[in-house]
Amino acid sequence: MAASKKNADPWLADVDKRMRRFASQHAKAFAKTKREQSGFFEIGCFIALVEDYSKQGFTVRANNLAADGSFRYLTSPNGNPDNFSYVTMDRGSVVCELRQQIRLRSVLHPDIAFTPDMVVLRSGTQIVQIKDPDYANGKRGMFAAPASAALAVHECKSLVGFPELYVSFLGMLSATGHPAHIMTTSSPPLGHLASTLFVGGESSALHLRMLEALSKHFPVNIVTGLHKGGWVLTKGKKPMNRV
Amino acid sequence: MKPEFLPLLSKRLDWKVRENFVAAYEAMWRDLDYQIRERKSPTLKLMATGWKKDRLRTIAVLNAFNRTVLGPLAAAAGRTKGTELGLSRPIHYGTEITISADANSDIRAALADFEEIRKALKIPPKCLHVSRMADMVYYLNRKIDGGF
Repeated sequence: MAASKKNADPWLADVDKRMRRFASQHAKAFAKTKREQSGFFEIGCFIALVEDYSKQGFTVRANNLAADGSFRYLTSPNGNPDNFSYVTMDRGSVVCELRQQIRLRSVLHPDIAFTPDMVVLRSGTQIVQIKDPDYANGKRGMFAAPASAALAVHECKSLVGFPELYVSFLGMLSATGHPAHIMTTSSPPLGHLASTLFVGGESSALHLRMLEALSKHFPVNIVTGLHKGGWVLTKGKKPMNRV
Repeated sequence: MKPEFLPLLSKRLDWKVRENFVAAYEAMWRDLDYQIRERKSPTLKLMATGWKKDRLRTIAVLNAFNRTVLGPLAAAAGRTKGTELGLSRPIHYGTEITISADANSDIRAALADFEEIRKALKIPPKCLHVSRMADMVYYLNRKIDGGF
């Protein structure tokens, strides 16, 4: 290959040859849009969460599937949740639902509403549609569930983490107005993964210490380095916080 | 010097993804320049063993490509076992993404080939995940010292 001859360093020539071949062979597979990348990452988090519930002994079931049996993932809080699939998890008396892109209405004030990427709700929680003149000119209803019904709130960030990102997740949990999301209780955990921030990039040693300190003081988990793939949430050195 | 394969790799990328990719390797390149300028001993030690500046800049590009392009895809599409969701039972994310064993076989092939390239080039795995040049230098030095 002509380009490789320019490299006096055989290692560099080898990289060049291999990466040129890689780019030619796999461009269609890796050339995704930013939105597609975020979608892949979020679904990776979703699957990791489903796997975690299975490992905790929950029976996991996909509901409201498409006619061909596929799972229709809700990608925006504007969609009607009734038209999309969700997962139910049950273990004895503990029954809950894992849903995506469900807006939560804060316990503090009904005007405080926001949408985490994933939320675990008590089974049967009503997702209410309310028309609001300040939302879509009052033409479409705004779907929301009460934050008091959320057992855990999960957020996915496909980027390298940083301290301000980590603490802003605590802000989101605080805005639910539900004390259990931000304060550790003495109640025995029921097996749910505590509210978790899933971060794609690796953390430095300094950040890992900060994450450990945060998870000691708050009922949260901040999992980093997920871009490596092959996620097993319970494989880590230290146990995850559970609620 | 920029790696010769770089234009071919980046021209295939969506502009927002490319922006992140370029920002990631340029940050590492700046970090490398700083370490050389400040004569940081781990970097100088590494360079004295043959891992010259061009090589480190090239690994920084591979690292940035892994973190900003392949990593997010690996999260969902790199899996081969576990829950049926996203394997035998496809997940449709709008009309643009389908996650299933069949639909993502091309991504898995790309991930596997990239891993083969890493192994062939004898780059420690962690070097392609860290976000600072100093960390990359640390893992390369560990490899040279027989830490891997």
